[in-house]
Amino acid sequence: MVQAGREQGDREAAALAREVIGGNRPAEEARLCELFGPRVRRYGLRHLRDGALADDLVQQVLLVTIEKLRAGGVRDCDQIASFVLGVSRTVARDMRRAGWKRDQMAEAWGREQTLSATPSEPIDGERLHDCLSALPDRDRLIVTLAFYVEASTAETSRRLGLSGANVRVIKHRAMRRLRDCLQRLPPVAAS
Amino acid sequence: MNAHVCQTPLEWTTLVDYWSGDLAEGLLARTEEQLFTCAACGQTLEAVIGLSQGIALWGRQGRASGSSSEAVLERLARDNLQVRRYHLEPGQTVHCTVAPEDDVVTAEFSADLSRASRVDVVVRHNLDDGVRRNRLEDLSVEHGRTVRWTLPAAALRPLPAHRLDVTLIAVEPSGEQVVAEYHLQHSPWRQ
Repeated sequence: MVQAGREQGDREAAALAREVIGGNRPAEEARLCELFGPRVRRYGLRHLRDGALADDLVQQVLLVTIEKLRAGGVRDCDQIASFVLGVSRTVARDMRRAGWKRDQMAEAWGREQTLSATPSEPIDGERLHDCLSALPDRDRLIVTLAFYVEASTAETSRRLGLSGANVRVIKHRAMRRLRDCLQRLPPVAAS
Repeated sequence: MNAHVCQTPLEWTTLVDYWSGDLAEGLLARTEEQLFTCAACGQTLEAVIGLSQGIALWGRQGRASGSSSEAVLERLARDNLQVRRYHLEPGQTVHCTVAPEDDVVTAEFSADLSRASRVDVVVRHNLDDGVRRNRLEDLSVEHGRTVRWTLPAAALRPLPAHRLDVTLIAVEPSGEQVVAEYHLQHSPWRQ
C-alpha cells in the first residue's frame, strides 16, 4: 500500500523544480514553497513537537531547497519530494540537537516545551468536548494520555495493564469515533 | 492545490500511529516518503493533527471527567491547573470540598484490583431529598491498584453538603464481587 503510493510521482513539483534551476523564477519558487511548506511543517510538528520550531524548520528547509535548485545541486528533479524530505530530516536532526540546549534553558527558567497551542486545522472546542464526553471512559482516558500527556503506547500499556496492541486498537477506534462525531454534529447555535 | 492524485492514500489508522509514534522504523520512513508526495495523505494527517491538538487543548482546560491517571494529574499541575486530590483506602471516610481556586478534583480509590478483569463503581449520593445512585462501568485501573475519578471543579461546586458512598465492584463472567467501600463527606467551601 505504502509502496504503491510512493511510486506516484509528483509531476507538478518535478516540473517546478526544473524551472527553478538557473534562478530568477520567483513565481515557480513561490509555488514550490506553497507545495512543500505544509508537508515540511507537518514533518516538523511530528518530530519537533513544537509549532514555532516547525515553522523554523519550514523556513530553513525551503531556503536550502531553493538555493540547491538554483545552483543546480539537485541531480534528479523527479525526486524533488525525496530531496525535500531528506533536507527536512537533516535540519530537524540539527534542530533537535539545538533544542536539547533550549530544553535545558527552559527547565532552568521553569518553563516547558509544548506542542503548538494553535491547531493545524482548528476544530470547534465545544463540539469536541461533546464528542469526547460521548466516548467510553477507557477510550477517553487513552486519547487523553496519548495526545494531552503525550504518553507512549508502551507507557499507557504499563499504567493501565493493557497490551500495547489493545491500547493502539482503542486509540484507533476512539480517534475514528471522534472524527465521525465531529463531522456528524450540527453546528453549535450562536448565543 | 496539487494536481497529483495518490491512488493508495495512507489509512487513517496508519496516520494515527504515525502521529502517536507507533510506527516501526521502516514503515515510518516509507510513510514519510508518501506524505511528501501524496496531497490527500497530507490532508488526512492534517485532520489527525487537528484532532490531537484539540484533545491537548481540551486537556489543558481541565474539562476531562471520568477515569484519570497519575500522568494526567501531573500534566495538569505542570499546566498550572489547581488539582485537589483525595486519596481513600478501603473503608475510609474522607471529608472533601471544592475551593474557589480549584480547577479539577480527583478521588483516588485504592484496592487490590490486579486480578479484576473489569471494575465498576457504584456511587450513592445521600441527599436530603433522597438517594441518587450512579453506576460507572468498566473503569480504568492504574497499576492494578488505583481507580482515579476526576471531575472539573465547576461541576462539583453547586453540590450541597452530603455523604457519598462509593463501592468498587469486580465484575467477572462468574458474577460480581464487592472489593471495597469508601465514604466521602462533601461540604461546600466555607471561608
